[in-house]
Amino acid sequence: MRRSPSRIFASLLGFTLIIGILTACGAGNPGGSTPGNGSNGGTQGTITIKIGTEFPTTAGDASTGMPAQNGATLAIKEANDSNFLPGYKFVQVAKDDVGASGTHDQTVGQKNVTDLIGDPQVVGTVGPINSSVALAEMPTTNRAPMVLISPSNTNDCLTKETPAFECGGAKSKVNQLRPTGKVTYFRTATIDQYQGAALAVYGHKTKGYKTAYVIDDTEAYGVGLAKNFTTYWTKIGGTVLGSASIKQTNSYENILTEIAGKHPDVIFFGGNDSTGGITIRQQMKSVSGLANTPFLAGDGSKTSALAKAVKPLGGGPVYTSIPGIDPSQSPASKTFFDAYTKQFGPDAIGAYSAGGYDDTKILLNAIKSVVTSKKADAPKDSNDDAGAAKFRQAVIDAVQNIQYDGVTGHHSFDKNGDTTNHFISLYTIGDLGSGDGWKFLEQVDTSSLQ
Amino acid sequence: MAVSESPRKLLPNTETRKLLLKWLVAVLVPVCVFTYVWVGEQMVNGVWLSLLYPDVTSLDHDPWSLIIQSLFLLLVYGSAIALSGYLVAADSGRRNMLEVWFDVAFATVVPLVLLAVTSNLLISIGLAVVVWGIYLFVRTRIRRARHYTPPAPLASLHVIDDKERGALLRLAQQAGLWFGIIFAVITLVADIIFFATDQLAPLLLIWVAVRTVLLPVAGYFLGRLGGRMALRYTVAPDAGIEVAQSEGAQRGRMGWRGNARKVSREEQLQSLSASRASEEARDVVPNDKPLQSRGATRIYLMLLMTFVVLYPILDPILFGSGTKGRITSYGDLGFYVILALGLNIVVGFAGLLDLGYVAFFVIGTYAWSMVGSPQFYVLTGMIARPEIFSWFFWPMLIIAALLTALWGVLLGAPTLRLRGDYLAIVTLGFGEIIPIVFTQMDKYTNGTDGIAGVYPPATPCIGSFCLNWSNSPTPYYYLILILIGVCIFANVRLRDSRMGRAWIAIREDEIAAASSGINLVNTKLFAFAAGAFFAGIAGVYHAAKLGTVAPGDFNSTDSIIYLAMVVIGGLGSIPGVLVGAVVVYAINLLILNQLDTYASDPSNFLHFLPQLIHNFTFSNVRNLLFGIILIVIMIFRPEGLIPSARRRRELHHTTNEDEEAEPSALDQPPGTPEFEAEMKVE
Amino acid sequence: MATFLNLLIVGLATGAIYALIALGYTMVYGIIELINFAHGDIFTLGTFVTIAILSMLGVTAANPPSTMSWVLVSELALACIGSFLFCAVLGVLIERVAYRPLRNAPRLAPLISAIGVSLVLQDVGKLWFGNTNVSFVSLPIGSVQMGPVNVDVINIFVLVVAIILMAGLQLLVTRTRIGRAMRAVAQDRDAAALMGVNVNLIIGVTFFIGAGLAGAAAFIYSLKFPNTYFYLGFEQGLIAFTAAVLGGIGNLVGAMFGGLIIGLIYSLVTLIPATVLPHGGNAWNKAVIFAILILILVFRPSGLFGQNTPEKV
Repeated sequence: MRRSPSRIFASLLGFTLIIGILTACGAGNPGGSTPGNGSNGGTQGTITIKIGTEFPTTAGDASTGMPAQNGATLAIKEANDSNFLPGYKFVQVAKDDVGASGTHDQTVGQKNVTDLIGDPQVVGTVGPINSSVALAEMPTTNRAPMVLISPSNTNDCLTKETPAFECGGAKSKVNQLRPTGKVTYFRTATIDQYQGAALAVYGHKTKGYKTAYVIDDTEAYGVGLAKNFTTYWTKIGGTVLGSASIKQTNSYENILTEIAGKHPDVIFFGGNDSTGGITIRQQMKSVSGLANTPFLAGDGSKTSALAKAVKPLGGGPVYTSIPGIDPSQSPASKTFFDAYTKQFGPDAIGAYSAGGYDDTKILLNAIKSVVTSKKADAPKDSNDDAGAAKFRQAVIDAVQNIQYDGVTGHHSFDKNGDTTNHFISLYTIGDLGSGDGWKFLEQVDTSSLQ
Repeated sequence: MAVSESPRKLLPNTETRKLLLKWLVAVLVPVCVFTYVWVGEQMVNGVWLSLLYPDVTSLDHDPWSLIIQSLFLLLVYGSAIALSGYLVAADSGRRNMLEVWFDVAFATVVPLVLLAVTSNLLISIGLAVVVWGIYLFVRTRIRRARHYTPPAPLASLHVIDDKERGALLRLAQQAGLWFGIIFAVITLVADIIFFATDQLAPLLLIWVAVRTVLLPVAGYFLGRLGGRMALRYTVAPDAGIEVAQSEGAQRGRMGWRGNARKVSREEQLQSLSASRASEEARDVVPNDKPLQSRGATRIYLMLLMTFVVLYPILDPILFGSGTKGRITSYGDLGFYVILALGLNIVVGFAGLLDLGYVAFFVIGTYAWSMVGSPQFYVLTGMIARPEIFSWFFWPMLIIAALLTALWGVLLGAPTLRLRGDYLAIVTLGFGEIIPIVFTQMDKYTNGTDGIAGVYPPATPCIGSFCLNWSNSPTPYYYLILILIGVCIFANVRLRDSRMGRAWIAIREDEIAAASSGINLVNTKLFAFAAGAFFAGIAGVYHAAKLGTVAPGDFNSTDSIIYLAMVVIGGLGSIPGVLVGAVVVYAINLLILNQLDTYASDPSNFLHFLPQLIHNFTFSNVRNLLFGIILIVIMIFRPEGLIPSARRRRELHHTTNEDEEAEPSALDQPPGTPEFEAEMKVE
Repeated sequence: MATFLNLLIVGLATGAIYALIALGYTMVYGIIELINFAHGDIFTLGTFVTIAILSMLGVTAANPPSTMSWVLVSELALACIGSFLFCAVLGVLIERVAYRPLRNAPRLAPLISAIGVSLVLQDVGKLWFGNTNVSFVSLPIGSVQMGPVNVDVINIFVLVVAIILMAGLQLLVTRTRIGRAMRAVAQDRDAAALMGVNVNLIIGVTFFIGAGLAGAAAFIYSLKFPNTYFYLGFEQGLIAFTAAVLGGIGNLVGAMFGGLIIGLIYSLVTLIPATVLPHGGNAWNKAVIFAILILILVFRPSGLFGQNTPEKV
């Protein structure tokens, strides 16, 4: 190589210089960055409002989180398509709280909401799915403050100090979860207390079962539901023969063999279909003595997967419930269902699709009422921290006062942020060909049960 | 050594011109990229603008931020100039110019450009690591195809006399000066163009003028400083050297055997084994690889440290909005680093495979959660008032760590007789048992729901200035930074201690170690205890930062992730483990689970995938991608990203063509003094 | 008493399946000293293949067959062979791609690579069948009354098949030429190579048989248990690996007994009342298994059947 080194030198320096000049933007002007420099790409005059969603959408939790996120996506898409709020464009910021171990992770959840809070254009967040993640996120969003609306958290202790055995008195979590003392967390799922009661009443009074065996899946949702069921079941005169607390496993044959020796009238399961619901009900069929025992479970088990897995086996009846009114009783649900299937396919529907959709709509409605009543202005760009704080607070107030009719019924929020919709719907397995395979039995207003 | 008699003038002569050219380009190009492609120019101008235009509100007028920015900029540019002086003075001049340029370009220019393009620190570092890996791979292949032989190690370490020292210093001075002049010209031309295109405020021209004069002057002095730094690592002719020179190397080796007379550095080096000598040779001058020599490494480390320490203030300027979220995730990354460091003691140093490390982390987490939260009332009947109990965080940091260390001993005791994978399965079992215990003992631990409302730490206020622990991630960032610093320090000291050498001995050969008088029981137990200790610290920090803890968040997959961090980084190598933790955390928690977000953005290059394949989501293939990355890293770099020196030497013959060939004992015929000397030292 | 006997039978049948999976771990460990973390996931894919083959033949969970017939039996046999072959080939492939390049690497590198393979296989399974529980076909097999207990015929069948497979493997390893070669490679790879043993081939054969047994185990599992999901194998794998260690890793007979013992413990733990352990023994079954494992290893550091080989110096 006999090329002159100085030529290489000169050309390299020249090259760098050219790159520099091409890429350097006008940072040398006191006017600074040009307005609208942020990458929102919106057209002139359109203000971007971001809505965060925070669900476990990958790996092991995808089947619960993804449908909820889809519901939110659908709501935002519809709002943009129908020009829900003229002059404003809604953008979804989807966060995933699945951690290194492949399931929902509190640490990741907290980081996600911190990320969302850090972006002034994010007005509120829909999520999370899991009560344990909510525990980590609530203090952070409460301090910000930013509204957090969950479609699925049913753990009583998130918002109040009852039931006393879980979070009364010194065990109360409310002060920690609500450091500013103001309510910024709302949920559209009826809390465990009502669902447990409704299931107990249905089993004991309607069906006449006397003895029950209670299994839970060791997760916050399942344990809470099982505890509430047990409390109410004994309160109205039923007997609990025993209880077991088993983390999701591939076989429940051992415990079922033992239960068979006790001959309960009904087996209650607190948990999701995938954390035991399906397997327990399937194995009951092959354990002699339990083949025809009725099976009672909450909304986590009211899935098409469970119906599909159990129906061909036959055996005892299966009863489940969901908090809220049955979609067949609500005119909006057909439209929602059609739109959802069109967008994401028929298999993508999940227990919280409608919840995710409704929560997002509640947030959208709240934003609309704030903007139209001119209570606060939406943040101008991604640096408008002061505007964001004001707008978020206005949205929180609007959500607190909202009156909303949606797919899951009528929602408004009480002083704790819980929905005032206390309807519980009861189901049994029906025709697999229609809908998700569940037959609507009856609807109970549990407000009177307490 | 290209240094020759250099007249006292500022123009390089023909011999030194090549050396200057080589290093000026190598340093100037990254500096220019930093300035014009990434943020350098923006930052400089930003600082001056806010000083010159105090009434323009859109500018950042926060004095703290301005001071920090100027400090950072001064350090970056100053150390770049000093580095150019250092490199010129330290180089032995035996390496090809282009070779060095390519290395520098891939190590610095690529990450800087990626930073400018992605505007995301971890993603660009991750991509840069990938690019660097591909580059090394290709380079190795090309070298192998061309039968490349690296230059033989410097036959004997060159001793520099006073005359040469003076020449080197002048050369460094020249390098600094020319760096200043060229850089001043480049910036001047660029600013003139900016001014002509109306992108430069007129008042800034003052700064442009000042800078153009200032740069060469600063270059002159800073270059000299760099040269002085290089000279610190020369082998100087001192009292012992005459003996060594007159009596030759043979005699020098005798000296190592314990003669009481003073021996020179060169003698000591020569008496070490050849491979050891080449490692030692890193910090002497002249050097074949000045970029990797100790002086240069110190400059990089200083820059890195400054960057890390100033990061929370620099972040909004470098990466825009979303600072809080980023600082939060770096705070989380921090405890992974501590966990990896702790696990490195057990697995990397002592060679005890631990698949249940998460257990200690859980214990540490619960230790603080049970004391510093309302749960304390449930346990003891006393109400834990946050304003008092927050202070207990600090003692609990140590108490909890000691507690987990105790658990480490308890686990270690029954497993002392177990070897290899029997130990692995027992630790795996321990990792399974502990979360079950914390789930099922719900009377004390609140079971599945976990403990909420764990208190953050408390610190005294200085005047009206209080650290906001509950609402800002920044205090945690600094806390974890300090904790990591302490842990690294402890790790290094442990490794170099008597105990650390005993660990390495039992890792290499337990029986040989035992027969050399190492107490296996104590050594292994101490390894378990020390490893667990760090997990305890990480646990307390985690609980306080997150504010809630639930047993469902810990399972054996976590232990495996920690292990992957250690192995991917490089077993037993402290910098390796740091990098491993960052890489695994970044890949798994920041890149892979954000891919869907990127893909849904129409402006992103990933956007075509969901368009192409119906219903495609990255969430479905996240573990697939992570698994493939793990396999690929292991296949191409089984010893880890930054292997420890010892491991590198072991694997030298099979994998590591990157290193220069080092003469080893086997290259010497038996019976020769060289052979004897080497066998003895190793 | 009836409950106890029932639990005993359930435990033995479950244990037999653990034993079959454990054999794969122990064979691979014996020959290349690697904890093959991907083995459990090969098992998962085996269960998926079984479902896929049966549904191709028209036997699906949605329409379970009402009576046993020879056609059904031959279809099941086909599924069993298919699952065996699929897993066996998959095992060989994994060895070739992910482990062979690392044979001379530091000890933990193949372990991490195995974890990587495990993650990949989990996601493959998830892409194939989604991340829900996938039901097996429930077969019209009844139960027989034996004294005080009512025993599922499936349990007996599972035990019998497992014992036949294990006996066959034992014969293969101890009596045949290839078995001798396997033992030779396990003892000293270099020496075996010098004696003319094709080491790569033998390691391949070991993976073939080990992974194939996981496939067979997957088929048997599909008869006894109601459903599978993509993460199943990882969890089962950990327990099976524990069984292999309990018996003495590298020892075939040890793995078999280890599996049975673990199965029995798993089952009988249920009898521990809630007064002893909160929430009853079932909640603690993994903890109890590992506690017993630690206890056994304290007294027999090489497992129940492992020889305490003197260290090579």
